[in-house]
Amino acid sequence: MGGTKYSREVRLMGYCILALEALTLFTWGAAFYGNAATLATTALSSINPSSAHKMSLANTTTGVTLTVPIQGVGFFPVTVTASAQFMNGQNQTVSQVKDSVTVSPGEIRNLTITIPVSLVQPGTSLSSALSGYHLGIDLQVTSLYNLVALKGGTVIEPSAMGGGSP
Amino acid sequence: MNRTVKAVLSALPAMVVLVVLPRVLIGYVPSSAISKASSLLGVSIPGMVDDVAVFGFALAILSALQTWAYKWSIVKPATSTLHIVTSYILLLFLLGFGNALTFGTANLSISPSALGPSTSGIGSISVSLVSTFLALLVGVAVVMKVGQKWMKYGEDKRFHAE
Repeated sequence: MGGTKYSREVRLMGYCILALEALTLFTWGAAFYGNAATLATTALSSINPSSAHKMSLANTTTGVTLTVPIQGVGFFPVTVTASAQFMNGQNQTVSQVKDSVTVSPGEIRNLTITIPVSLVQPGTSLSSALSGYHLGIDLQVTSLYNLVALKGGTVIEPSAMGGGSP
Repeated sequence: MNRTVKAVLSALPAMVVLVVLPRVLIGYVPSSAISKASSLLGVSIPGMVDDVAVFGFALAILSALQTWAYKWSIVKPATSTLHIVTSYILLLFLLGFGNALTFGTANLSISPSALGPSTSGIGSISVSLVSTFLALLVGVAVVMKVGQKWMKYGEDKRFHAE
């Protein structure tokens, strides 16, 4: 059975489709790898006591500042957004803190979350100061204009932090 | 080779990959592990396998029809278009972990209670895997493919008429 010899336009379109599909798969795979690797690298180095890029907690005049160094891994810039929402027993938001940082591959930048002084009284430990609140946590790792992303969120009840509702 | 035999052979890959293989693979996993994974992720895994099998049957029938049809028949581009669109919906279904309507976003609700008693006090953990980039660009490729199929049909029809 002899095949039809298709026109140049049809064949060119076929090559374009193949190239587009290959490029799409490669870019998507690379972006997903970058997001996951950035998240994993940051998480591992943050909690490793011997790491040069571990997270730190500092008392400042505005409150308690949590600094997490974000290390860019992969092929594309990655944006990491973290937010925490403090809610009382009636699930009303008392305070909300948020920070976002964009890192290029190989770059290290700090993500800073400051828990306001109204929530953390001087002289009290962080866990006891926050123990009365429901804590909503959201984390997003995105790349390629938010078209590839890993997002996660949960609510931690006061009982998990060792206290009751305020 | 007879075109009916060709049609039957062309239906086999979809049947094997989407109908037979998932059932065989799920048969090797203990049912307790499947129910635990289903309750942990909030997704019915056996239900997903059934849904993928429906896609498998549909794709197998469309593959057989497009192979069986003559190049200059309208059945060829029509079944090819349906095959491409069904494959795209299957991709969205897989990317959405059982929900094609999310356009490439898998929304999972992980139940911490399924992880153990040490997680008490932690509410349901929502996890989203966003692959809108893939869904969008494959959508562009699908439109191009459908266009190409109809261009091919036009040329085949003209070639047959000469």
